[in-house]
Amino acid sequence: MNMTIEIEDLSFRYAGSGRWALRNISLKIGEGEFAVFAGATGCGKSTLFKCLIGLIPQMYHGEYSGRVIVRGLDPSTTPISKMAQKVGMVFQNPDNQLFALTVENDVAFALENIGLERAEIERRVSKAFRIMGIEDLRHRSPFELSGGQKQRVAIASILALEPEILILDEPTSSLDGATAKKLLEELAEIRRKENITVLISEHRLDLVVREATRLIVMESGQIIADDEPREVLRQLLEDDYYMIELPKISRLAWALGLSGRRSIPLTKEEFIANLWGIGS
Amino acid sequence: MSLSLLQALKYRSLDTPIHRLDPRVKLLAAMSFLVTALLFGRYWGGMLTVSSSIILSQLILLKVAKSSRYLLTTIRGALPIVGLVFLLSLLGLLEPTAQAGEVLYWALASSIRFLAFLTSFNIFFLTTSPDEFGQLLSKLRIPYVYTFTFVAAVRLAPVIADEAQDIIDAQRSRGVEFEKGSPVKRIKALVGVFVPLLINSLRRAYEMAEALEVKCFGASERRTTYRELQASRKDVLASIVVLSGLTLMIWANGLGAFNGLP
Repeated sequence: MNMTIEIEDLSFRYAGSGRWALRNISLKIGEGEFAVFAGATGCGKSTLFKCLIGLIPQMYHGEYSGRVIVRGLDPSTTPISKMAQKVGMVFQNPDNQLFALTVENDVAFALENIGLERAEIERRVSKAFRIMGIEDLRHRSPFELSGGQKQRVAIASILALEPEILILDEPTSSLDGATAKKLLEELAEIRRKENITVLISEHRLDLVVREATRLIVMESGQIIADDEPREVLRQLLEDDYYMIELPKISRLAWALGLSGRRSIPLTKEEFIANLWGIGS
Repeated sequence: MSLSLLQALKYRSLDTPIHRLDPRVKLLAAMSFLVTALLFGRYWGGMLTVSSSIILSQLILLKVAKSSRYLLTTIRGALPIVGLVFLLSLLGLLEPTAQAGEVLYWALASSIRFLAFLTSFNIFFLTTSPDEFGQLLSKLRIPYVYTFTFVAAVRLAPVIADEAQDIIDAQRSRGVEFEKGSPVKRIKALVGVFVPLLINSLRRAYEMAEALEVKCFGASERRTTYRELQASRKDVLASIVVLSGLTLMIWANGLGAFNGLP
């Protein structure tokens, strides 16, 4: 697999802080992966994401060591606007990411900033609308949208930059369960169709883990587990890890001793299959 | 007063021929109203004629824009200032050579003129969306940073208003009373709203700065625009009407039509 992100021994401490936000992180992420980052608040997920696009150390200063290569570029020295055309980043709160007074202008905003021709902007805006399924919101004002709609617009406005990597920092934290589930399913779909690498931090593992190719767990600025999701879940269940909420179905299977002989189930169907497997 | 005055100038999204006009045409019309109201009428009769016709044309235009009632709100809101203008003009009575009737007419005409001056931009504000206003600013070659500041401010105002309401509610549920007590006590209660609001805004500023960075703000020397104002044939026609109106007024003024009765 071609590596799209390579991090070697990255450490970072915010200026004025006594605590290292990231400690000796080494990580490789391949092209087209769907990597889920989990960990308690303050574990360093957001800080790590900011390092991938260059917000750290270019906007936030501090003590920075190690090496990061994203799509062949070094985010610590490449202008953020150049990084942003390879790495799209969506933040938690959509209200602070939408600037224009119509949805359409918002999706076009970044494209105007990089100086694209109108025809190209039109093509990309229409495509982003189609991908996110928000064509009907095109002429609305961001004020009147629901939380889920706003977050969709925020994602569309980043997708319009046609990034090769999409990073989402807790994109569903302000959404209700059903809306969050739908959005995450759509993201998995987009990743497959558009062939982009997706990095996402999410507390509700139930919702993402079945789509994930990687599950990375962080604690106090370090990576404590990083593997294929089932393997990570097995490790965490074995250790009785409580800092993040593991999928209920997996915990149930583990508690019932159903997952010992087969892999950890992530869905109801797999759970039932495991159940049938007892006798065999 | 001031609040209702501002309320009456708030843009309301409607679909009328006036709303559809290019904001540049509306700006031109508003400027013409303003210039006409200020420049003409050395004699009270002319002043009264000019100012009344301005207010009347505003009324007709706003009627078409289905927003005429807001003109009344503005007028009502402006009454205290207009009253002040009237009273100040009455000071002319103190002059030894003053004729009471003449001064009274002058005062009346000045008040109406002031009203015409105040309301001249109504049509523009009431029927131009903030978005169009932003586009207008960039058409006028105002640097994009300023246009952006304006658009972002309009965009954020309701978000911050919501946040302020949340803080007020939270304080209320902790027993803070905003409507009771001495003025000093009330101001103190507001400080409790202002401080968290300010801190939240600072945090928001950081988040917005991050979002602006990843959206390549300021990346290109030559920023392009996706939607640009485009004048239609109707807009051109409307500007011709506005300009000929203005020319007619200037011409009539040149002939001395507003300088006194024959």
